[in-house]
Amino acid sequence: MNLDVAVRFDQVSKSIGATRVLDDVSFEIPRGTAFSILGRRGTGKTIALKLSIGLLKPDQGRIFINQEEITALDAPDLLRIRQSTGFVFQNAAIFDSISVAENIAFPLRYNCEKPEIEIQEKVRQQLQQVGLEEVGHKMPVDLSVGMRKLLGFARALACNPAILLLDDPWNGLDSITAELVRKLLLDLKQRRRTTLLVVDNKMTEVRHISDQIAILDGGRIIACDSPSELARCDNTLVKQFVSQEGF
Amino acid sequence: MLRNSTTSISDSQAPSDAFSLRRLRAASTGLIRFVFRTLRELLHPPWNSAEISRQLYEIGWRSVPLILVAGVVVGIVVAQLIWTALVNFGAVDSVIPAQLSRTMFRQMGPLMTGLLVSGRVGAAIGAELAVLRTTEQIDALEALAIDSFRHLVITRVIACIIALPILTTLMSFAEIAGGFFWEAVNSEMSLRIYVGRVFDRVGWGDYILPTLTTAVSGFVIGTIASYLGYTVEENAAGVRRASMHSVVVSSLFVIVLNLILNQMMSFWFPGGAE
Repeated sequence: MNLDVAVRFDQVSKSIGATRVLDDVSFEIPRGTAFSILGRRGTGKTIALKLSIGLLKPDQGRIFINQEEITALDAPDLLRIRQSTGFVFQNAAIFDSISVAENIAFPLRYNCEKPEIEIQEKVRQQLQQVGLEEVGHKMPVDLSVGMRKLLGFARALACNPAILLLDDPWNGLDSITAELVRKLLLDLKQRRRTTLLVVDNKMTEVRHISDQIAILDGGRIIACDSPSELARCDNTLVKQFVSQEGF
Repeated sequence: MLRNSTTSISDSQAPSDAFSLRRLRAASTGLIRFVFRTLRELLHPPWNSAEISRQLYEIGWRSVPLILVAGVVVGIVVAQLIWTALVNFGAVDSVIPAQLSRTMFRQMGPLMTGLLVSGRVGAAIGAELAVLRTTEQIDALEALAIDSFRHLVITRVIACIIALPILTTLMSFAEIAGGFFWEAVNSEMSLRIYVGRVFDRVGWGDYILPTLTTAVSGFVIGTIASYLGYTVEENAAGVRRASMHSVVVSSLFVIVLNLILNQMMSFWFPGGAE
């Protein structure tokens, strides 16, 4: 087993109801690299992401995070594994009963055991990093969709995760904010060696940050390669993905 | 013709009935597992005291106005009922305080509190957890390495267990106060005499045991409402169903539980404090 692999899917299958959403999916993500899964809506991308930190259990196959098989872990061990991961949800999943700043402080208070003054400083840094320093006192309901997404980033990054999982991260963002997110992710990958697992339905942004891109269709990975190699792929769907985005 | 049409209706209903039965069986199994998990987690401190305090405020403190108003009204109504039933036997005014206090402490207080709390709090817990589930906030907690079951369910169940006996005490005294209002208006009985007669025929046994058993009602309300909200899988319809079923199921359980506990107490302590 390659010790420098951060995430590994080994012949994973998952059904939701009668539908086989993922069928024998295998891939591995070397540490400090960005791996993207592209596919049309409803092809099981989000399911794959949730499987990767044990929010869902696969019907078959094994999933490894940092060489540890998470499919065999019980709840307390899963929580331990998740301390090294961050998750940005498609709809941000912001805790709407607490303020913007408290959303970031929340995981710090639970997991990082830092003094309150350090937590407040970390919250300020995180808000500044995503340009939300002016709205820390507001409630999430007062934020736009894009701002909520940025808050989701800030919260996921609060505990400096080694692996960051992103579900449709550019959805609902304007072009300037999308650029900010792209730079943020590149910086995480290059400077902090954070492993990125991104799912998206467009090539536009992921091609800038990804080392490997997998195309998911009908529950199976039909192509998996670097962005430049994918451009030479003969598969019709891959060509559509690549050509539509002016690759 | 009729025969054919009957057969076809039965046939079309059969899969739906089977589906409902399957869902009912799955829900029952799920609830039993959830109850055992709750009991297991309750035995494993530490609990999140800050979140429990917040829930105590939401579940307990914010229910106080409802409990006090309902208690006074129920006290007035029951006093009037006792008066109507006993007026022909004479000396009814002296009987009302004693009858009222025993009824309130042993039966009406715990039952009314359980029902009111399952209505107000059961619906709130069911709907709140269902919204957290459908908006992926529970997944977000788990993704942040926070045990959502302990953070959301256990804190609410503990708050219900603590709040119910306190609210029941308030309810019982509010009902007795309601009885006094009725007496004061109709027979001009003084407060001193009324209080003396209220506590003349009740002892600690009439108060402590029935009130403490409401902690079980608190567990039932907290657990059932949490189960229905925490395990919801759909969107808006699921939230509505979780909220509605939380009230219906927890109210039914509270009524049955009160009946059973009352029978057990009557069996073990037939004379109450006498």
